[in-house]
Amino acid sequence: MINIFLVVLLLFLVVVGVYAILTRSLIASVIALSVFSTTLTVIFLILQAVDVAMTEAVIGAGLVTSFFVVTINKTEEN
Amino acid sequence: MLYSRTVIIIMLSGLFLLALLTFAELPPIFYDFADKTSVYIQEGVVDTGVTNQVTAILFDYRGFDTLGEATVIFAAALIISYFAPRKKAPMLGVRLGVLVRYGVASILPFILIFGMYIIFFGHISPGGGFTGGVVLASIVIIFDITFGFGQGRVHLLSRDTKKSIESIGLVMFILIGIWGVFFEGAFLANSSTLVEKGTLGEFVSGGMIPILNIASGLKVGAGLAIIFNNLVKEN
Amino acid sequence: MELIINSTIIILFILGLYGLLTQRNIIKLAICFNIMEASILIFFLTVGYKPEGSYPIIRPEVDSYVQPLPQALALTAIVIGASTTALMLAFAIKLYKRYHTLDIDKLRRLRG
Repeated sequence: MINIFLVVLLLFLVVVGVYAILTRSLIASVIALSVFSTTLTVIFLILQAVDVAMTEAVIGAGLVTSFFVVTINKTEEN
Repeated sequence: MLYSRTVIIIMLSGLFLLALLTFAELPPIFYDFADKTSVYIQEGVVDTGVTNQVTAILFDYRGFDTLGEATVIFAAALIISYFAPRKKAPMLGVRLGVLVRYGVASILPFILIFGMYIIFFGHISPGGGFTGGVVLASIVIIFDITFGFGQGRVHLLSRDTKKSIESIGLVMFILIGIWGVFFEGAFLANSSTLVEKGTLGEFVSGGMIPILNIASGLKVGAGLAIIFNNLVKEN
Repeated sequence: MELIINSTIIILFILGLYGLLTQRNIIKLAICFNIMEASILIFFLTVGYKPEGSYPIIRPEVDSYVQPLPQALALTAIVIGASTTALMLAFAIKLYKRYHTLDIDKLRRLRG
């Protein structure tokens, strides 16, 4: 059962990664990266890595996203 | 352009096949590494006195790597502060609404408690200095996004305070390492001469590891807060 | 199961490499870098994993654990990845401030 869940999550990871790379909109790409990190957190939890999962949730889904949003805010055409 | 993209795809599919063949040569994933090389599992508790073995590896067996990692964050913060101009640039054009401001102000103390809990209990439960430090950095970041822009800006910690906190964390880490040189015979050796070893699984356990947790939490939190603030300040 | 995890790791890595070679926006390149890094993290964690193992916090009632060393390495890699990403983005802001573009083809044509 947990294996099926893991396979579904890995497929979702690939789909979100493809979307994050191929989409034209930068902000959509960054939000897709945040979703990617959150999915990665669940995968780490299934792989029994609790410390890594917590760090990835805080850094990957929160902090790095804020870095990217600030950068896009600073560099957008206006 | 189209031609070069075709070439790239062909080369990358070749690389994919090559990687697949290489992975087939590796030992299988669900191989019992943990039983065959189980030094950390079997002797880690006796050696270090903490139950969370990831923390034991980070701050005892491979404490020197962790010092190097702290140095990397220090270098990144240094370079980004060198880039940042002196004058501040506004990030948001509009001031956030009253609901956001009061909501954030009432939620911040709980985030503080959560971050400190993760740092202080990092040696007996999941978490540790890095995770807790990032949670503490997120307090500064959220506060600055909400209150730090537009008219009447307030900052939670001044630039110099953050720099001092980061330096205190790094100096604390290095001093504990030098203490290990004099009293235990190796740099960053886990010494029980300064702090008593405590009982396994209790809050006071593991000798120096909880103090190293606090040092790296201060270091990582202040470093990432400095990085964010300088990114915002770029114009 | 093994084949699926292995091919996911490789696909994510190749995907990030493809993005690095074809995308032209510098912020997009940082995103591709993060995706490649994620594939490496999954590889680290699967090396030390075993199905019946529990998370590596030693308790008396459990006697089978996953290997903690790859997890410590992955934790280090995540924190360093965040600071290198921030460095890349700071360079991107600096380039935009100077040349008013983030397209690496145009930046290459400008030549200082």
